[in-house]
Amino acid sequence: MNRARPSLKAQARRLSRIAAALLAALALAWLGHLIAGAAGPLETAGGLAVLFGVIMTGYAAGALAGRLPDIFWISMVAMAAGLPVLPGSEFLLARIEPLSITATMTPILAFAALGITGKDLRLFRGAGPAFIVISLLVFTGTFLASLTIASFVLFLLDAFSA
Amino acid sequence: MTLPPAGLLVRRCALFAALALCVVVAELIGTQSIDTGPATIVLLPLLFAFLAGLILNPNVTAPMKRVLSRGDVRAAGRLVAVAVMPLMALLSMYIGPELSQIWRASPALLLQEFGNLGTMLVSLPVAVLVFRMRREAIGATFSIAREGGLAYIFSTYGGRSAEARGVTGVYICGTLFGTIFFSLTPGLILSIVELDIRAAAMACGVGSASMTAACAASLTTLAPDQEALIGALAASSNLISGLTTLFMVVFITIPLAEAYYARLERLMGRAPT
Repeated sequence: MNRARPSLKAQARRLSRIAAALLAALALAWLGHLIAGAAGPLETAGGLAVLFGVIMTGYAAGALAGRLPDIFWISMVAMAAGLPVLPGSEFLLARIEPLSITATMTPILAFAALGITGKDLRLFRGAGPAFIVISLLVFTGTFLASLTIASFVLFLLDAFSA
Repeated sequence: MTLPPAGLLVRRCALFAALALCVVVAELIGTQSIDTGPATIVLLPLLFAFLAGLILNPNVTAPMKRVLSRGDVRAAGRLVAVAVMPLMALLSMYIGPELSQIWRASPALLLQEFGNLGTMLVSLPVAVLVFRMRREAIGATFSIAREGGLAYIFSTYGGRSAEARGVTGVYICGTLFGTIFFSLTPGLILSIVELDIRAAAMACGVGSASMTAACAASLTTLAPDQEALIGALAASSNLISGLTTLFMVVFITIPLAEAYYARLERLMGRAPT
């Protein structure tokens, strides 16, 4: 993104706000894990703490290096954190082991649903029913097309390597 | 990205209470399975969290306006970008240990990106021939229409164009039920057709973090012991999608869509606009 680099102070403020929001999201995930019975309170907290560290490192990297979306930086840091060749990865992976994808997913949808604005709903009603069908077609199509290609290629790979 | 000022947690306590309520209710309901003969529909807690959130949303349920303000709703919307990070980080951390598996499957991982092209090839004719859309169809079907796609269409065709209307329509639908859809469909498809779960995990990478994650979650209910591999493949696929989609859209999908659209319009006996 082309914009003047914000001051260090502004960056720090932004990061501290993100950290606060992230803590809230992780707290919700912790709650969800407990109720789902996915893992005990301490194990879950340990895993989520690792995620906090990884994510904030990613955000910080993005703030320093800029130019690419936060999600890219966070993915990179996370990948690096799990790489077997790098030290500490075993420890980190062991900490996140008790976490469940499903339970970590649940709070996101709560944010999404509570974030739907009046404008979103108006646009939706204005778009018309055709868009619902087309959207479903697009989503299904993209999944099925990729699924077909991937299945086929994997089949070939397995057949030729066996 | 602008966030509310510090003191976020105090100011938004009503919002967090509502969020917590959604999570608690959703997890209490838990995962529900509906067996419909050949297929099994798995309803994940995320679906119930979404429904709970909809009910608590002041734009849906007017009485909630007394509890949650418009600022709360806006904050929730902005915070989705942060809320999605724990899951993206989790999935990406699975990649490291599974690197050898990913490497083995890499041809499949790269080639399935062309599936995103297939979407347009099928959806565009339906939009034009069945629903009689005009240039909106191009915006609506070229890709899965998330922020990147939206931005591209707006900058290429202009914000007030028919194509922009098309992409916005699909974008809104994606926002409203895209994630839910991806939490249901992959599991459903795989319960009917026996395919390699790795292929399904790769197909999950559609370019939207929450859709990918919901897709991965639905697959892990089918194969819980492969949670890490599924997560790793889905995350890698999504990353690759993010990197390659823009190139594919600019150089392949849109030019193809334009030509395709022109032919379809002529087929309808209309002069293409």
